Amino acid sequence: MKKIILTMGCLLGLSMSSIAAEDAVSSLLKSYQAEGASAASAEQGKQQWQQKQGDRSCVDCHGTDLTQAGKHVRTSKVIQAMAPSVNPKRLSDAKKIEKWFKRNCKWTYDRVCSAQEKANFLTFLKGQ
Amino acid sequence: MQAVLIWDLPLRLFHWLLVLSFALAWGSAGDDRYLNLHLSAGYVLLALLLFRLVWGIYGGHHARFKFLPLKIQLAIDYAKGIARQQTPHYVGHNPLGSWAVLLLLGLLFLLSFSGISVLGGEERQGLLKGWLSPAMGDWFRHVHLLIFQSLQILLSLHIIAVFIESYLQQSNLIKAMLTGYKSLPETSKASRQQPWVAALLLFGSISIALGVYHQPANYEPLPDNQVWRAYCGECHLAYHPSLLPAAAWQAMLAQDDHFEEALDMDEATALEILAFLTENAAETALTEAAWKIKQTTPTPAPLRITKTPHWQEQHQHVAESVWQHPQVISRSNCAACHQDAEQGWFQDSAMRLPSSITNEDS
Repeated sequence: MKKIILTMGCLLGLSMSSIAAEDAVSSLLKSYQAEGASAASAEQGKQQWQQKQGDRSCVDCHGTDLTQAGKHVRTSKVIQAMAPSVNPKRLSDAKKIEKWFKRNCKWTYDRVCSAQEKANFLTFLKGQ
Repeated sequence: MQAVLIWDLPLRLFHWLLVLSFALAWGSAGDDRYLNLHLSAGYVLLALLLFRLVWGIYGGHHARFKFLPLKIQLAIDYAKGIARQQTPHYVGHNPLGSWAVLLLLGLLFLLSFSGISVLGGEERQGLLKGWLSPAMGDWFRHVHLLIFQSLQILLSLHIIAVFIESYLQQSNLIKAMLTGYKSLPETSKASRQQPWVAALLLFGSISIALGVYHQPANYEPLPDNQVWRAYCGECHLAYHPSLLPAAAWQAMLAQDDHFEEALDMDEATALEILAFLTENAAETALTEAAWKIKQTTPTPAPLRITKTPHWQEQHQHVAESVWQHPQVISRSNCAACHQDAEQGWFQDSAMRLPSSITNEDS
């Protein structure tokens, strides 16, 4: 009996955390659609992630394998893994996601990312 | 004439351990990477001195201070005797040697105490931690150096005197301090070896040496703030506020451009962080680094810590190749070499070059 309750509890907990992640990402995806983005594509997101614009890309700091920690290209500070599969805190807070989009798009691309780009990024990242 | 034991084992052990610890302390002086060795040698030296004090009261006959020929007249007579190359015979130390012994011991005590004061004031470590300001620590550093230089002179005289005495007495005094025996009339009062005391002394010295050497530095936590640490530590090390004057922090947070990135702080966060920064800035002199930065940074202060005169002076001998090394990458990456960078202390003893790097300049 204890085992069953424990298992149910774990499953519930896990599903709740993934629901939480879903909540942040899906609510943001809805808002991007409202801003005019069409269907988001994980494949596009991956391309964006790896493509250099100017002389910088996301890979420079976050690395190509998102299950590994990255390193800030200027300061060498360790950046925790981006993949939600190894780092459940990633993509769980909508405010944080927006903040980092604002900061990092500015530094990496020297401009704001469009709603479409952000939608693609999120769709790509949540599957990592 | 026969071989008579004059210098017992504890005394001889004391003497040579003193030589060893002084030499080790000398060799490890001035280089921040060897501070643990320097402290370990210094504490052993102090322990040896304390032993000598006790032994001088309770020890074997020739070790006792009360049997040292210290009367001034005797010293004058002995000096005259040296000039005539005919000195009165003393079984243990002669009058001049006795005064030299006391002077040496006294200076060595002062050397130890001044060293502990530097440690307490500048490094905020050790027995006097928290009792002295960095300014006082710095003053004691000058005293420590001055005493060391006096000792260099005195020790040179000591060594010369040993040779002169050996010649005048036709007796190998160095050998005597190694074996303990001098060739003397049978009636001379002998010492006893006392091996157990010597064993205890040796054991004690080794314990202190190893204990001090391996003791991790004892940090008091510096002022900290969760919001500051979380926000300012996102892209780089959260540089402790004590590393820049308050005016520099104010200027830095007054603009959105943060070294080519956007600070992007909401007002509430900015207020809290700015308050924390200005309240704990270099003016507080919480650490040696803070104090030196406060003393030497001009107004208006540079916003980059690496542009402060103190930083530049401290890192002037670091080769460019070290900054380019993949484990370092940038001058802003303090934590690559400073193991206590996160805590904000930047103590000398917590500095290690990553093992894969050699610094050609040093």
